[in-house]
Parts: sequence; C-alpha cells; structure tokens
Amino acid sequence: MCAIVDANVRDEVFGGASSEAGKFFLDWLRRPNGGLLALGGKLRQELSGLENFRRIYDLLRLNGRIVDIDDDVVDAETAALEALRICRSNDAHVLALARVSGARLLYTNDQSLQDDFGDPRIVANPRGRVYTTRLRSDVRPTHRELLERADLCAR
Amino acid sequence: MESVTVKNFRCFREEQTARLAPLTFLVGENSTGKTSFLALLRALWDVAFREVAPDFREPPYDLGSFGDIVHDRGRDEAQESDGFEVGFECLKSKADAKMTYHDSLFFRATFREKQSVPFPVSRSFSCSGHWVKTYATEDGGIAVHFGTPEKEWERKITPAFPFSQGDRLTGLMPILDALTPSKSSEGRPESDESVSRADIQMIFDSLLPLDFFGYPYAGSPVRSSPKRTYDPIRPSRDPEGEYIPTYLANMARRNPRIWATLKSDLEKFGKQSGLFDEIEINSFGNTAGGPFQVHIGKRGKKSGGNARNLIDVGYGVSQALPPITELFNPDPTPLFLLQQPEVHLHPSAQAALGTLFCSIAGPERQLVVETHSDFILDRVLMDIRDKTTDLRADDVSILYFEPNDDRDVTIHSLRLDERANILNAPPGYRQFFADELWRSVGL
Repeated sequence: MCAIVDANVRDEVFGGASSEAGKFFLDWLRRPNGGLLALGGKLRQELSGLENFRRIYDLLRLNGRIVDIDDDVVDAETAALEALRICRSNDAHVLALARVSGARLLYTNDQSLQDDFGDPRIVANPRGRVYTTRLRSDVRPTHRELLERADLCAR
Repeated sequence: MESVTVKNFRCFREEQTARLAPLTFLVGENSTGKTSFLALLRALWDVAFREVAPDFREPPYDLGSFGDIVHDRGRDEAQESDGFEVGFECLKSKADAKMTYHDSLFFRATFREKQSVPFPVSRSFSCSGHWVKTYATEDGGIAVHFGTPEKEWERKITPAFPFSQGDRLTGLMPILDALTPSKSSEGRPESDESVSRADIQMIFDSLLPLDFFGYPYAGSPVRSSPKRTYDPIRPSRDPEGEYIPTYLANMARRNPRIWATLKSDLEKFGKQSGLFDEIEINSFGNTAGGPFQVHIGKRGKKSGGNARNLIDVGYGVSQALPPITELFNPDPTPLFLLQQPEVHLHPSAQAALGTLFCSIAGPERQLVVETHSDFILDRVLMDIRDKTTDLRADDVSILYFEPNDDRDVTIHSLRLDERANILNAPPGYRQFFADELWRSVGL
C-alpha cells in the first residue's frame, strides 16, 4: 500500500514530536511488511525542510519503499486539477500526487484536504482514505485497520 | 546473458531464475552465495561458449570440490546427490538485408561428480523451437536428443565423437555435422525416424554460430600491493591485477595512441572520483623492457603538486587501478565480474564508480558487480533518474540474495521504474539499515 504524508503532520511523523498514532505510522514505514511512501512536486520541498525526513527518505528510496514521482508530472497534474475548480483545500499538489502516484492513503490533519481526498471526483479507483490524529492522537482501531489494508493503491 | 537459472548449486536449493541486465548488482549479507553466483557465470560461459569443462577452483573463485559445490541436502539426507543444474538465457542476433532480429537462446547443463570435481554430463541448447541435448554415455560417447517444432530424434554418435577429451567438450558444430545425413543418402525413401539434411540445417541455423567472443574478466576483491619500482612481468590477466602496472607501462612505451586514450580515461575518472589528476609511467634505462615506476599526480586547489610514487599515495589509488584499467581496456571483454570494487575507496570515489559503471555497461559489455556499497548503488539510481546516463531503468538489475532459516538462499530480481524507484523489494529487504537509521535519528 502507498501513502502520502501531508506537510502539516511532518513533525508529528518524522520530527521526533510524534504522537502515538504518528509513531505507529512511522513504524509501518519501517517494518518489513510495511508500506510505500509517495513523494513529488511541491510536497517534496515541504517535507525536505526537515533533516530527519531527508535521511529517512534517502534510506527508504534505497530500500525500495519510495514511489518518487517526477516533480514536473505532479506540477502538471496540480495545474490540471486546479483548473477544474473542485478542490476546497489549497492542497491541490497533494491531491495531484495521489492521482499520479496511485497512493490512496493520506496522513493529514487538515479537514479541507481530508474532504477533498474523500471526494471521488478527485481521488478514485479506489477512493482515498485518511489517517488522521486531528481528534485523537492515540492509536485507534481505525488507524490499525487503515494500515492493514492492501487495497489502498491504484498502481 | 538475460537470466541465469540454478538448482541444487551451493546454497541455492530450489530451482530459481535471476534476471541479468547490462548492469547487474549482487547485494545481500555475507555468505549468501554472491561470489558463488559470479563463479557460476564464468563456469556457464566456459561450458556453453568455450566448450570446456569449467574449473570451479580457478582464481579468484575457489568453490572447492564437487561435495562443496552441490547443495548439501544429499549429505543431510544421507543419500547420494543427483548433482546440480544450471543454465542461462541470452539473446542471439540474426540479421537479414532489412533488419536484425533477436531470439532467446536457452542453455542448460547438468553437472555430476567426476573424480571429485563437477563435470557437465549433459548440455542442451534451444532456440525458436529447435533444440539439441547431448548426454555423456557410459562408454564415453555422446547420446544426442534433438528436434524441431515438428519432429524429434535420438541418436548415439560414438566412438568417433567422445563427449570430452580432457577438459575439452565436443562442440555443438561437430555434433550437428555428425548428425547430418551424407549426400549419398539423399533420394532414399524416408522412414518416420529419418532426419533430413534440411532438418539439421534448420537446427544449425537456429543455434549456431555461438558468436560470443572473448572471455569474462573476473576481478578479485583483494588486489596486489603497490611497489615503488616494477620489473615488467608477463602482462596476462590475473584477478588481483598484478599485471596492471606492466600493462600500463607497455602501453605508455610501445603504443602511444592507445596510451593517450587510456591515460585520458583514467585521469578523467581520477578527477571525478577525487583519487588523482594525473598518471605517468617513469621508465629507467633506454629499453622498453626495463624497470619503471607509476607516478600519480594530485594537485591542490590553489597550487600544482608534484607527482608521487604510487606507493606514496593513498592505498585506494593502487586498489582502484586494476578494475578501472580493465573497464577502459580497448580489448572487448564481454562480461565483467567484479567483487567489491569499492574496497579502500572514499564514498565520493565509490559514487564515481557508479557513474563509470553506467557509462561502460551496455549490450556488448555486461557488468555484474557484487557490492556492499550504498554509494555505488545510489549514484546509479540517481544517474538513471536524472537521465545523465544512456542506461535505462530496464538496463539495471539488482539481485538480492536472501537467506532463509536453513541458510538456503532465494535470489530476488529487483527492477527499477523510470524514476529509478526500486520495485518489488521483498519484505525485510535492507531491514538492518532501516533499524539503524531509526535508532540514529531517535525515532
């Protein structure tokens, strides 16, 4: 399964300021049967500001756990999506990354982006699901279920 | 070679096929069969193209006797082992007036014990539905099973054609010649078992010629120590590269045109890797066969520096010279088998090796590199991702050697996509590195 980490949970996942559910997600990226992380476009710059992320990214790339998408491809999809004027959030670049990478799990605490990610006009086949700590930062059954799913990928 | 198949050989018990590419990396823990795999590639080349029984103890590899080479389940189960089976697929080119075609040629050999060493008791070649399989018979002759998509035959050709004479195996071409009916038999009524000259010609055209020239270069991870002054030696290849200084001196003294190109290539790599800027041969006396020294120049950023003797510069320079010189050698070596070319090299030089591999590897020069260097691998991935090399993602294969609890090994053939993302990495691939980093960053 392939996931995207939004910039607004960057520190929570990679920065050492982890919530329990953040650590649980990070451990999922590390463990042998864990998932893939998609990256590209503007989100690359947003996450790369954190040194820990850069180190983890370099490692995950060599470990075959990164789906790296050409920035130009993500930027073009972002522009196309913005032209549709159907996004409520200002994170079209994250949605565009999902569309071109096939990632269908998003870790975010942004309600507008969460709504967009669940909108089948924007992310579909399969529909996007959201991993969030916006309301509860402990590990909930929904967190576990999301990371155990094998179908949240369009690749 | 496009792929290699192995069964019951060393730590590879189950039959499995590994994908090879112009640039192939062998990665995994120690004692997982990477070096055995390199030895196997050279052995396959010997038995298929040179038509000799391979020597599994020829340096730089020493796999021991038959009992050391065959998978040990026979011994564990207190029963005699059947031997081991190995093979490969390669592309065979055919050209007509309009274009060149590529067909897959499949080769397979079975090895059994003969005087305590492995001996190829059967060999088979197949291409486009045409095939020949030869077996050693008890009387030393050859049984041949061969066919076309429509028909198949069995013959025994003996005693004029022995299966082998010493290490030399009777080649495919004389075997097919021996199977060809004489012209005097033409026009006679055919039985169901008759083989016609046309049948043999079809098989011949499909399988031959086996035009794979040259001999693989097998480099050792242990290389000869530098000397202050060299006396020329016979410049024949050896895995540790002891002949390399003599080879360089011979080029510098006797073949200025080749030396100019080789020196330029070496110095270009030297600069890219940070190892050196200049390489010179200093001869003593007036004869081309006299002693000589290898001098290495490395300039400071602000001022020029004097060249120093090879023995007086970092060990990495002398250790890098043998594989680098071989890679730039104008003689076409079709298959490079390199073991840990990164030893003694700073990470920047290791990364430069990655770029060099990308520039050398191609359909005519296949590189198979056993390595523990993330710096080499990472540079290759970046060069492919950033398209700074002509090599494409499909031109790289990463073979991950994964041991199981019984120390049997599975070879995973990892592929790249066009962004050099590593695809189909199995669970647990490089788990050690992940655990170390997580600990390092305190997560």
